[in-house]
Amino acid sequence: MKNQNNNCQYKEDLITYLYGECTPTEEYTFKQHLQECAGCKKEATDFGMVRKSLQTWQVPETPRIVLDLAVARPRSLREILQELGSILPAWFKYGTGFASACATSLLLLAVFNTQIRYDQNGFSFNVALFGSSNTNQTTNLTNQRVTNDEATQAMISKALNEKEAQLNQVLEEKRTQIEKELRKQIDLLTGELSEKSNNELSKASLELKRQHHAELEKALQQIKRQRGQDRTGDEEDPFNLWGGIDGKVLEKAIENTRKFDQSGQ
Amino acid sequence: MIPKGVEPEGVEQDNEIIERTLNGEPEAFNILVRRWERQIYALAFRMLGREEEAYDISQETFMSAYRNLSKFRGEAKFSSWLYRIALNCCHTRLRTHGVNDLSLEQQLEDRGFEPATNAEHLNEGLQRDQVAGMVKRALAGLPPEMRQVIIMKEYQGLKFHEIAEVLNIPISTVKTRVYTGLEQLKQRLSHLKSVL
Repeated sequence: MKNQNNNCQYKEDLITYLYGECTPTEEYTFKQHLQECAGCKKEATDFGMVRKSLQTWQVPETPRIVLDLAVARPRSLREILQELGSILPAWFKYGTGFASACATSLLLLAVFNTQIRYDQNGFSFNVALFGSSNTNQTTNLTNQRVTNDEATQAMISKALNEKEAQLNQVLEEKRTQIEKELRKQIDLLTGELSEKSNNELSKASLELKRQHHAELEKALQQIKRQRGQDRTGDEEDPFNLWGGIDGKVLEKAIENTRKFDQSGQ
Repeated sequence: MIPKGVEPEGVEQDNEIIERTLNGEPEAFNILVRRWERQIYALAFRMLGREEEAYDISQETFMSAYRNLSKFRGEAKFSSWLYRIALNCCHTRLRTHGVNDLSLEQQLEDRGFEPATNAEHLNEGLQRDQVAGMVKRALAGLPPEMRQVIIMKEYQGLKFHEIAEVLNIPISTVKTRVYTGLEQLKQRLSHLKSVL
C-alpha cells in the first residue's frame, strides 16, 4: 500500500464513489485503487463516520407555510400607491397635498397669463387668456426684430461688395502682369523666328544663284561651242556672235540672272 | 436518499401547475408550496439554525417565486430554481444580520447547551441530541458556500449535477467543496469517533 497521507489525485472520484454516483466502470476502477491507496481507504472510512454523525441532526417538524397569494401577486400602481399612503406619516401626506396645490395654482396662473404689478399707480392685476394683453408688445418686438434683421442683411451685403471689389482689383493686376510677360515672350520668340527664317532664305537664294550661274555657264559653253562651228560668214551680224542661239532667250536669261542677283541682295 | 417532494407518476408535474397558476388559477400555486415546503424549510433551518428564521425564509422564498413565476423559463427544474431563491434569501439574511448573530453555535449557547469536550465525557452521558448539537456546531463553523453544498448533498439528497445547477457552478467544484467540507467536519468531529 502507498500514500498514507491522502494527497491522492482521486479525491473527486472518492467523493463520487462515497455518494454512489459512479458508473459501473468508475466504481470498479476506484475499488481497484482503494486496494492500493491507504490514504483514500482511510479517508473513505473517516468520511463515512462524518456522514453518519451528520444524520443525527434532524429538522424539527416543518410548520405549514401559509401564503397570502392575494398580497403576493403582482399589484397595480394604484394598489401600491394606496399601500404607500397607508404607511406614510401624516405630515408627509399633508405636505405633499399642499405642495401639489401650490404647483397647480402656479400652473393656472401661467395658463391665464396673470400679471401682477406695483408701480406709481399702485397694484395692478391683469389676466388674459392665451396672452392677448401682450399683443402690442409682441408686435413691437416683432417689428424691432425685422429692423434688426434688415440692418444685419445690409451690413452683410456691404461687406460682401467690398470684398468682391478688392478681389476684382487683385485679379485685374494679376491679369495685366501675366499679359505683359506673355507679350514679352512672344516678341522674343518672333525675333528668334525671323532671324532663323532670314538665314534660311539667304541660304536658299545662294543655292538658286549657284544653279543659275551653272545654267548660264552651261549656256555660255554651248554658245561657245556653237560659235566655234559657225565663225565663218557670221561675223558682220552682231547677233550672230552667239552661234545661232535665239538672242531673245539669251537676253531673258541674263535678265533673270540680274533680277535674281538683285533680289538675293 | 431520494429528495422529498418529487412527485410520483400520475401526479401533476410542477410545470403543469405553474402553467395553471399563470393562466389565472393562483390557488394552484399552493400545491407547489405543499410539495416543496419541507425541503425549503429544512434547507433554511440548517443554513441559519433558527426555526423562526427558517419559517420567514421559507415564506419569503415562496412569495418571491410566486411574484416572479412568469420569469421561470423551465430550463432548469422548478425545485432547483426554488432552492436558488431560498439560498439567496439565506445569504442576504446572513449578510444583513451578521453571521455571529444567527450562528448555530450562538443558538446552542442561547439554549444553555455546553458541548462535551472529551470522549470520556461523551461516553458517560452522550445522547443523540448532544451529538446532533455537536454536528450543528461543526456545520456552523463551515463557510456558507461549503455549508450549503454539504447540506444539499447530505440532507436534501441532491445529485452533484443538481447542486451544480442550483449554484450555477461546475460539478467538479461541487465535489471539491464537498470533499473539503467533509475534511473540515472530520477534524471538528474527531472526538465523536469513539462513540459512533
